[in-house]
Amino acid sequence: MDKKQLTRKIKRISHISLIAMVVYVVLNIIGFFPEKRSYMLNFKEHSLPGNITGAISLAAVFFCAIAGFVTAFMLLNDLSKKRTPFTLRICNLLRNLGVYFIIIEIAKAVFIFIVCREIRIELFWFAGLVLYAFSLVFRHGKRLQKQSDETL
Amino acid sequence: MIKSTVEEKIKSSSLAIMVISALGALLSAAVGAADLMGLGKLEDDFSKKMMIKTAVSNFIGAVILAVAAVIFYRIFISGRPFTHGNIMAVRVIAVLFLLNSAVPSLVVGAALGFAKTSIIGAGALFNAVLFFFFAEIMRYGNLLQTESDETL
Repeated sequence: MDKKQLTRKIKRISHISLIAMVVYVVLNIIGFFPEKRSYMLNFKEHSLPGNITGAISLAAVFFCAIAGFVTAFMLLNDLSKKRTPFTLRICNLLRNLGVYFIIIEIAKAVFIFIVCREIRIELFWFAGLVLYAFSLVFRHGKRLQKQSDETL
Repeated sequence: MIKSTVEEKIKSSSLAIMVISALGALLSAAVGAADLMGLGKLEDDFSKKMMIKTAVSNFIGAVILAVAAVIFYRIFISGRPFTHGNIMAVRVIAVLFLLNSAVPSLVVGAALGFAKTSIIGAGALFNAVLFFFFAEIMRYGNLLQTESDETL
């Protein structure tokens, strides 16, 4: 597969991912995933006036989730429109997304521990860490892209 | 950022993530084994099946982290992220995330009935798509890297 075909494929996948992301957000808003709702109900039952840690972690999850979705939206939008995936803006968006993922996972683990007294850690933190590493890899790609453009 | 700084950053972050991934893989496998060993202590069938689900999920997580450790080890050694081996490994991670989103629930669902359990884990599915997507972008990077090597 040559560069043009691959770029077209990346753009197509970005478009599909963008649509999937919007659908996922809508499903979340209408409460399609019952597991998350049960955590919220549990929190309402167990919440104490002094349970500040739970409220802070919940707020962190909420704001980072919104920031993460906005960043992911901007990232996919850029990927579907730009000529190349290796740009400085995409590098920065990836780095930010990685940081949001890590904060969400930590805050979520704290929140679930407060509500259910159990430690539940998924691999979301790892995806965040990988995204952060990939932002550096993308910087390397940006340099290669510049080199390629200058050669042509 | 100049070339050597980017490469240095890629190498150092790869080393850090490799160590974290390797430790995470060991921890995940240990937790999975502990889940299986704790099965005898559980009395009701539902709890047993849910424990098996968690154990399967932990074992798949351990394999994902082990593969990630291999990728980052390779990047740390060579300083080149866009290689065919790494692209294949990223695809393997995507497939494993895909398995992680469905297999643990299928294990429980087959025994208890699918109405009682969610079949697809949304988080793992999202990670699967993310890694498939990165594999494509890495392919593009691989083309640029080849072009750069041929030019030099």
